[in-house]
Amino acid sequence: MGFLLEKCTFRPYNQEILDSCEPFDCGNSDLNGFFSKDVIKYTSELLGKSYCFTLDENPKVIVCAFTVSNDSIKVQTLPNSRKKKVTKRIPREKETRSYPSVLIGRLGVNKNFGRLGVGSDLMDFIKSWFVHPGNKTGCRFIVVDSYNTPKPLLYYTNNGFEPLFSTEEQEKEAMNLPLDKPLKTRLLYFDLILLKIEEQTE
Amino acid sequence: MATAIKNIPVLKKEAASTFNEKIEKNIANRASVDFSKKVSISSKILAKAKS
Repeated sequence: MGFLLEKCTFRPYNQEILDSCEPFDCGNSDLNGFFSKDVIKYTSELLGKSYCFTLDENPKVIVCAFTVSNDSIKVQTLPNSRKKKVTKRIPREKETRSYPSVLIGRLGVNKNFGRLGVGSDLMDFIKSWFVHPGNKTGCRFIVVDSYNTPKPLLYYTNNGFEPLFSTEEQEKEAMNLPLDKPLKTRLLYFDLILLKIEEQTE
Repeated sequence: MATAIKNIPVLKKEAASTFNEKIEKNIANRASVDFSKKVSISSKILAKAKS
């Protein structure tokens, strides 16, 4: 995270950023559109919060940006065998377990800052932020809805993310999407329980 | 308007059992990746941050 620490400043992505910075260009028109047109409305509707790193030597330059919101992974399971015995005369109810998570809704790196490791540094920062002792709520997973194309999928898997569904077909079924149409995005997750920080070792 | 972000659906059946198996393994490997240095750097980034 050397580049982000030494050369950049972390800020909320707000109207002041939109007014004072050069348009953010990560090479993806969908993401560029979000960070130039939709971001303020998204924030004002409390659907997510957006942040960015600006370049210290020229604060008009946005090096990278991302949006996060609270979410959860819900897992439906059948009761265990012991419980089945106890409740065998009662219709079996499915249990749903909910894990607190944070959803990365958008994430992009300025195309002029590729190959500097900014993307991985940014992901390390996001992971650190949610296991940081100062984080006020518990969070087990980071989830992302990645574009279903090789480059972003490789970025997330290289950073330890795994697909939430084993196959595209499984994901389409869960999302009630037609099986014959391409899946535009894929859900991936990272389990924060794998990370060791000082406080856990004491 | 940018592409809508998907809701995370409830994991059921095979997806649920695969997920449960993976997170059980993760619990067994809890704190196996030393992130202390990165958390320390992120503290410095947050200390320098502007609101």
